[in-house]
Parts: sequence; C-alpha cells; structure tokens
Amino acid sequence: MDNRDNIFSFEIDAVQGFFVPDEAVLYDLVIAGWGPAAVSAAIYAARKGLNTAIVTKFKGGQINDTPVVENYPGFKSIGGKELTLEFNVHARQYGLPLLTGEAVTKIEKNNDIFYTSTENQRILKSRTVIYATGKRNRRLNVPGEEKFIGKGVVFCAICDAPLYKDKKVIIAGGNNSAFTVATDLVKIAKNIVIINIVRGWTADSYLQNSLKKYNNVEMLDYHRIESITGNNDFKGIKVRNLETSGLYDIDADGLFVEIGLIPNSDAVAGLVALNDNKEIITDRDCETSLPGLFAAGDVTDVTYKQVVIAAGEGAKAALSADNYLKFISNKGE
Amino acid sequence: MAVFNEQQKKEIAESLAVVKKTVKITCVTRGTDCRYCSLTKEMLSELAVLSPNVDINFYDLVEDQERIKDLKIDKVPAVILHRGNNSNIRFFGVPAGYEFQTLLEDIIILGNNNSPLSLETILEINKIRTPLHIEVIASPDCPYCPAVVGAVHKFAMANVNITSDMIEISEFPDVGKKYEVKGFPHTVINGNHSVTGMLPELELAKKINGFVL
Ligand SMILES: Cc1cc2nc3c(=O)[nH]c(=O)nc-3n(C[C@H](O)[C@H](O)[C@H](O)COP(=O)(O)OP(=O)(O)OC[C@H]3O[C@@H](n4cnc5c(N)ncnc54)[C@H](O)[C@@H]3O)c2cc1C
Repeated sequence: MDNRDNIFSFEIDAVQGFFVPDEAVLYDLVIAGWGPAAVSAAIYAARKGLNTAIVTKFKGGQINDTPVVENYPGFKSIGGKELTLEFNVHARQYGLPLLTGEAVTKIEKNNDIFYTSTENQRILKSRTVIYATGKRNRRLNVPGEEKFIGKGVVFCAICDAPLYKDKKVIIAGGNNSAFTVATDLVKIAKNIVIINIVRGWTADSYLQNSLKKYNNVEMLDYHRIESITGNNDFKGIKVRNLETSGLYDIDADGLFVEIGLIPNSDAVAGLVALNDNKEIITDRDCETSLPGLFAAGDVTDVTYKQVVIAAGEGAKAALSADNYLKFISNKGE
Repeated sequence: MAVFNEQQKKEIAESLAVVKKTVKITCVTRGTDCRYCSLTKEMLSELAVLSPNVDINFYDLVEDQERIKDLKIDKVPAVILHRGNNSNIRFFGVPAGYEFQTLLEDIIILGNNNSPLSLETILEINKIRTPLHIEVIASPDCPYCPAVVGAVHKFAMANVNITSDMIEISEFPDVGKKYEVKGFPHTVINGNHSVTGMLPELELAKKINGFVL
C-alpha cells in the first residue's frame, strides 16, 4: 500500500444496480453492453425520449483495461478508467435503468417484440434492441488453460499484474495489447518471456522500442504454446519452436494471455447474419439482417475498431432505432 | 486535508439523494498500528455530512471492546453496514478505489429496502439456512471486484444467515497468503472453498450452494 494516490482515489460513478429495469415494462429500446458504443447510443436514445433500458456484463468496455487513450477528441491524453468514468457520469444524468454484472444470453423476436434474456434469468421486453457488446480476449484453447484461469493464467492484466512483483511471467501475444502489458510488467517482474505464434511482432514500434532498455526480457516468435503445465499449482507452459519442431517446458509464475479479441456475438448467433469472424453484419445505418435489431461498435463488421468509431456507430444506431420506431408506429395507425 | 474534493462531494451528495431511510453504519478503528484507520474515519465523517440519512458510529477496537464485542471484529479498519439488527455486510480495509462505489451502492440499496437481485437469485440464496461466511479478497484497482463484492453484499441483505466481507488485499496481505490468492476477485466460502473471477450473481449463488448444500 505504498501508492497513496491509488488509495486516495474514490470512484464515484453512476448508481449501478439501483434503477433496475422493470421486467413488466415494454421498453422502446434495450441496449446490450456499456462500452463506448452503448453509452453513446444511450445518450442519443435518452435525448430522443426513447424509454430505454440497459443490460451489460460490466459497466465499461475494453478501454477500462487500457492505460491511456490519446485519440479521443476533447482529451489529449486520458486514462482508460478515467474516460470510462467520464462516459458514465455523462450518461448518468439521464437516469436510465441499468442492469450490470449480467450478460445477455439470448434475444428472441416474437410479434414485433424483442425478449432479451440475461444470465440472472431476467427477461426484458422492447420494440428495438441495440447490440453493442464489443469484443473479449481470445483464449489460447490449450489443455490446462481453463483450470488455471485466475490461478496463474491471467486475462485481466490490470487486475492481477501487482501479484507478479519479482516473479517470472510469460506473455502470450505479439500485438499492442501484449506489449502494453509487457511494458507494465517489465518494471516489476523479475523477468518476462514474450511468446508469439507467428514470425515477428505486430506491436507498434514505439512499444517495441520501449522494451529495449530492459535486460530481463526474452522474446520468442514463431513459438506455439501447446499446454499449461502443473498439477494442482500452475507451473508454466509447454511450448513448441515452430522452426525446429522442438518441444520444451518454460517454468514461470504466471501467464498473461493477450492474443487478440473475439466478438461477443454468441447471444445473437442464429438470429442475425454474422461474417466469418463472427462479427454482426451491419449496413451503414447500423441495421442488421433482423429489422428492429441494430448493432454498433466492435461487435460488428465496421471496418475500424476504435473508441471514437464505436461512439459514432452507437449514436447512429440510436438514431436508426428512433426512425424505425416512428416507422412502425406510423404503419400501425 | 479533506478526503473528497468539492466535485466529489457534489457527486456523492447527488448519488445519495435517493436514500430514503436511515442507514446505520459502524466504523471500527484502532488508535495505533493501523495505517488506514484515520483515513477511513475521515472519509466516513465527510460522507455522513453529505446525506441526512447516513448515520455513522465510530468505535475503537481496544477502548470500546466491550461495546462492540457482538460484532466480532478481528481486523481494522472495519466498516459494517446494518440492516435492522443485523450486521452482516462488512468491509475490511478502507473502501477506496472501485470499492467506494460498492459502499455507495450498498447505502442506496439499504436506504430504499429494495433488492436489485433477480427473483431467481433471491430464491437460490434463500436456500441457505445455516450460517455462511463469504469473504471477497479484492484490490482497489480491480475493476471487476466491485461486481462480486456488491453481489455478496446483496446476498447478505437478502439472507441473514450470510455474512459477507470485502477484504482489501494490500492492507491484509496475510489473508491473501492464507488463501493463496493468485487473481482478483478471490471469493472464499466458509474459509475452505474458493471461486476466482467475476461471475454473474445467479451463477455465483449456485456455486456457493454447490459447496455448502
Ligand atoms: C488494450 C486495448 C487498447 C486500446 N486502445 C485504444 C485507443 O487508444 N484508442 C481507441 O480509440 N481505441 C482503443 N482500443 C479499441 C477500443 O477500446 C474499442 O474499439 C472500443 O472499446 C469498442 O467499443 P464497444 O462499445 O464497441 O465495445 P467494448 O468496449 O468491448 O464494450 C462492450 C461492452 O459490452 C459488454 N458485454 C459483453 N458481452 C455482453 C453480453 N453478452 N451482454 C451484455 N453486455 C455484454 C461489456 O461488458 C462492455 O461493457 C483499445 C483496445 C484494447 C483492447
């Protein structure tokens, strides 16, 4: 507890879990997610007067785990956590009901009404849905991974990195995320090994350069992690050198997995069209293949994945949902 | 020096404006050998001023030993939220960082007598008929910890058999060592079963029941 700044920070955020959506109400709009796309959709929807409810697994998106964001207009440089708080505080003024800590598990449409089911077995009803559930970390899918999650295998570097002070850690991945984790860990860990399955490294050169001054970093490209070792306790990994096909063990205290992202589209697979990467196919108005269900941000096939783009797409999805609601109410009259 | 700045005070007051009923809180500290006791006291004193419905009593672990013996406090600083005569919703270590949010939410829920748990979760959690102790070992920087601390505190609000604690790792490293914590949040049930990571409340309730029923 040496960092007095940390301990003196008090996160004051939207009141989560208080204004719980009402399962008896037929909402105009249910938004799934609470990353930049969803927050922006919520702000636009509230300002259009749509009766809106939100369901999210977690109140913040990928940026919450990002040390700094330097390309969102209005903020020259801001911590990901701080930007998330800015979003939350901005959206809070609209007092929208929000369920957090429970992901959407299924969406169905019957007689023009959407039924959104959650992990805690609630069902919300609405006339439209905006699906903005972003992406999550890709798993290695090797033996032992599942067993040691939270017991040596780490997916939330920001949460668990402090536990690896003076320890040996392995980082799987060669992208910006892997190198961002490496630049944080290199300062506290005894030594780190970065392993990439392909040849070379895709991280931005400034990130790669920032590691060069340390002599406790080993980098192995064209190596594949085959399994996690250890019986009751995490011991390390079995890794194959793809050049020589040689298989060997690396012992360590922890493995940080940063091998890219996959879209959180499972709950709508089968309901709307997905592309080969399991991203929801949307048109330029954020419409999906199912009328009334809109999608925005990283979970879609939008070309670039960035905060500002997700926020823009979220706004567009809300305006499209508003248009759609006007259209169906005109049709009914 | 004040703990909260003016902007923070404004936001806390706004958040707590929805608290309708008095929420009683006990804060136990110790005069010496407790690095964050005075911060916890100051923080809660400032908080109490920001809502007419938050009522905080301060005790010293040693001097007030007799008066607080029923609370069975073994670590300080301890912050206990009361629901009627029950004192089963607890924080050990200063509720700072992300955990401050959980404290605010607990106050809001207690001050409205309104459980945000889903019906399914309430049914699951009410299957517990004997005393159950849940400890969530958290760090103030872990964004996923409040979801679990919040969930187990809500379990304790729904069922008096459950006592739910947040334990801040850096203030109580021995607890981390005892339970061999390797990731956050780390949830310990009755001292001998554990769950690592964030789970939705219903799944967590089912897991807990799987261990003890
Ligand atoms: C390490 C890292 C660094 C980055 N740095 C930058 C940067 O500097 N600048 C930049 O512009 N972009 C950056 N990005 C990309 C940026 O974070 C994303 O493009 C952006 O967050 C996408 O927003 P989103 O709202 O679409 O999805 P996300 O941010 O992924 O949010 C998805 C939301 O949905 C919730 N959710 C997930 N599944 C479900 C479900 N089934 N039901 C309900 N809710 C669910 C999640 O909890 C979350 O709240 C970075 C990404 C990473 C990983």
